[in-house]
Amino acid sequence: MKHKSDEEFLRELLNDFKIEAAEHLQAIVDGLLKLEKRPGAEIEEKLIELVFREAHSMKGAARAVNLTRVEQICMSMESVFHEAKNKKRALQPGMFDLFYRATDFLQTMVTEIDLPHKSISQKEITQLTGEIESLIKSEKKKSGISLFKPSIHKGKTDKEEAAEKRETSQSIIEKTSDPAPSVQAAEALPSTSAETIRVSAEKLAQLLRQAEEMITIKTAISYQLKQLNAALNNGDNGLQKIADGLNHEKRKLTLALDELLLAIKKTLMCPFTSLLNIVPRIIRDLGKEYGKEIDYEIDGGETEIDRSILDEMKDPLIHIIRNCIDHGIETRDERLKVRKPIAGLLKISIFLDSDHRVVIQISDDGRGIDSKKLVNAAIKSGMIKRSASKDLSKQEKLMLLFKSGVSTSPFITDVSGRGLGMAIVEEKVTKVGGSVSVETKAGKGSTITITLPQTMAMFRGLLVKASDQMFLVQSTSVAKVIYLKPEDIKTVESKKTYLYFDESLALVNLSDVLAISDRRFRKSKTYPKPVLIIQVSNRKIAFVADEVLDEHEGIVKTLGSQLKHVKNIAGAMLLGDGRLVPVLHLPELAESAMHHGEAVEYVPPGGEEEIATDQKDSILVVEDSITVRNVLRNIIEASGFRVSTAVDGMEAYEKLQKEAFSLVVSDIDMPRMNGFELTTKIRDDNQLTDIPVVLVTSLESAEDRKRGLEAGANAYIRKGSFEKGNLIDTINRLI
Amino acid sequence: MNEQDKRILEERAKLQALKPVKAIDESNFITAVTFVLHPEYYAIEYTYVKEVVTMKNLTPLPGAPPFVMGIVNYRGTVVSALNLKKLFGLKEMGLTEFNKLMIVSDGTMTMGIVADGIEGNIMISKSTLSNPPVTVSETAAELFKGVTPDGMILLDAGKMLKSSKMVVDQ
Repeated sequence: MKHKSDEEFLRELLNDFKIEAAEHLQAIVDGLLKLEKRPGAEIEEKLIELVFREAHSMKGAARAVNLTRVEQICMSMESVFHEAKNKKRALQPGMFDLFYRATDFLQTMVTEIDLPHKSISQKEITQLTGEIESLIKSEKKKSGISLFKPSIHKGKTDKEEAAEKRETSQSIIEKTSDPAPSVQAAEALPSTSAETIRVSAEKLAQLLRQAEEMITIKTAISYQLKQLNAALNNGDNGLQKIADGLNHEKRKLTLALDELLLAIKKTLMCPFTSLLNIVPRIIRDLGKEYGKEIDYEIDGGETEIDRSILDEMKDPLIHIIRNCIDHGIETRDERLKVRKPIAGLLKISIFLDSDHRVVIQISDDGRGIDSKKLVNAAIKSGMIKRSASKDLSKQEKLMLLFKSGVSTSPFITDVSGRGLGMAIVEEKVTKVGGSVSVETKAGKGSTITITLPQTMAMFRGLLVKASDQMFLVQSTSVAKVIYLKPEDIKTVESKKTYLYFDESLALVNLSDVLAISDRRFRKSKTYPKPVLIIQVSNRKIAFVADEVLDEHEGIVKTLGSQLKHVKNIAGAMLLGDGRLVPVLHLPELAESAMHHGEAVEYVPPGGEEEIATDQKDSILVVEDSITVRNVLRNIIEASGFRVSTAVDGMEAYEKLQKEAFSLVVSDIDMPRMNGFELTTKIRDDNQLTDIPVVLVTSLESAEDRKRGLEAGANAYIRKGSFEKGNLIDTINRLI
Repeated sequence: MNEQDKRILEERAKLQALKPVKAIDESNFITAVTFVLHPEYYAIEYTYVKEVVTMKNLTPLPGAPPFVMGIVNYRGTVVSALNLKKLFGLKEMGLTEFNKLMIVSDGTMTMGIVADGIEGNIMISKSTLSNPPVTVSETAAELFKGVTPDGMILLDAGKMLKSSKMVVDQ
């Protein structure tokens, strides 16, 4: 419309920078990970050079777009690696955490470029760069040629040093003659990736959208045809030719369209490597967190898949890796006992199966999954009944792993043990039309297999009328459409239900759940009324609609940038006649239906429900900071608990003697008696020993978690994460 | 017409024609599209208005906040149609047409603003803008750039497109 404004120009520049920065950052992180493994002086030298160059380039790019904060961090990294490069100082294992912190900062800053809110303050940056730069100042000494060797040989004569240099270079020759390190050397060099063209994903998405619009044309023609046929039936024979012609056009268009869509979808595919790049870092961090040594093998990274599917796979991958490292791979001592190598092995392989589906296999050589434990955990969380558990097949038992709320971990932290991670895996995989399965062998390890379509499938939905409005319901989630007669409705505890085979399903009006039943709409349609039996995960609900029309195929569009998410609605699809129809978000709809007064699952008379309501659980919050104490109190009280507080472990222990509490939430660092001591005291006290204890702390280390576990705490939550509902979920699980 | 009248008219015409056109310093002016939200007149910066279309096939979204009238298909993408009166907490008065949709975008965020009619383009001198009346709601005050001497309200489109308050994320 107009020439570009400065603002637009700057935004374009920043977008370019974002893409470039991501590449530099990935190269830096890769380099650091390889360096940390100490692959030998020669490779280290190359890697240092690489990190130095990448940091330098990123610095330059940041300066160009006036991102001084990014520039500052890059510059400090650059100077350290400059020193290392010139052998003026040695890199030491302890420094790497600092480097990773720097890359994390950069990552955050790059993703936040467009946002007005910056989560990292200038103070933090100054502190970080100060720390990095102090590495140079504190250690400006000569060191040996091995870049890692600590500078213990200060004061050696030049001769001695020269001799040592010869020695080391000899050892390098020995090393390189050994086949193994040469493989590593190849790995250390930047990979020569397959020939690619850089096209912005946005442009490609636009292309796809244009092609998608052709579908509308196709359906429009179909619609016209229908109209024409109607006219024909009225006896006008002259129209026959037009109908034939149109039909021919439609076939041609369909063909061309399918080809175009496929071609564009292929352009939008990208190799798995772009996702797998993050894996080494995750394994390293998790290994450190759980105090386990992990080796990994990755292959098949070149396998291509639809970008949108790949994006959805990031969380599942992280959760599975975490699960493998946390639950699968044994501790060092355990591994020694069963004569396994100390380092656990995590294998990720990706390949195409004969049906052109993408298969991801993630396996570990750990202890395997204990299906008995899983079943018990599922019973405990109320997922299944003890009586029903006996009928489960082995595979069915294992699949409980993917059910929300099932966790075998006795210890809850904010990242594991909540039983959510693996449920997310299943949810995301099914969302893109894939499936997940698990195999295990006691003592040998387990393998999780995810099978995915290579491209996104077309959406098929049933057009349904509720009140005066049309909606689409994903066909695959509709188990059955039945026509309801008044006598089919059973009332249980004043809730309407419908008996489907031998299951009693909640029966709800779609227009009530969507709150559109009060619209001026004459409910002319009486019984029999169509009912959609909808299956969401393992729950079925019967939704009463006013009309069920036909099935439509097409692309679900997002609701646009202003409507990020509207409750119960997943998107919208364009029909042939130009109508835009909302597509229902079934998991949310099921949730809404459950909260909607009419539908409460069948509870037998004299159920447990009533007890919980009048007796509020009371919780003791122990925390020395008044701010945190009040935050905790507010959060917990908002969820319907009674809260008492204590300023330290001592006061808490006194209160516990006088009053009964259902749970204790405690800080760790406190005067007089800290959280560990309090936990130990509670466990040693016969009267109190069963009270669940949740430790809340700003520290998150394997060491602390271990201490907490030893003291007898039930869960461990990091400060800052509890407002997300983490804390309340944990409390609810433990009470 | 007699000679004298003719001369007078000619002179008058000359006078009018020769009037020097004062150079306009563009930086002091805002070019805006004016529109009607019955019975008031509003203006929005021209640079943000991508297109004005006639609204048809509006699909309401159950559960969306009241200021979201629904969604429409705009060249293959879904755009929301917003009722600013509801957003600003203004009273809706009388019969309105409400069938014009202004597609407003800054490249990242796109939204449709529903209007009764589009008046045209005007140049607004920044110096003549006054503060919005204190009686308007907080949301409205934040998104108003100012009021012109003849009572037209200039919206701050840039701010509106960036405001998190405008985004529905339930």
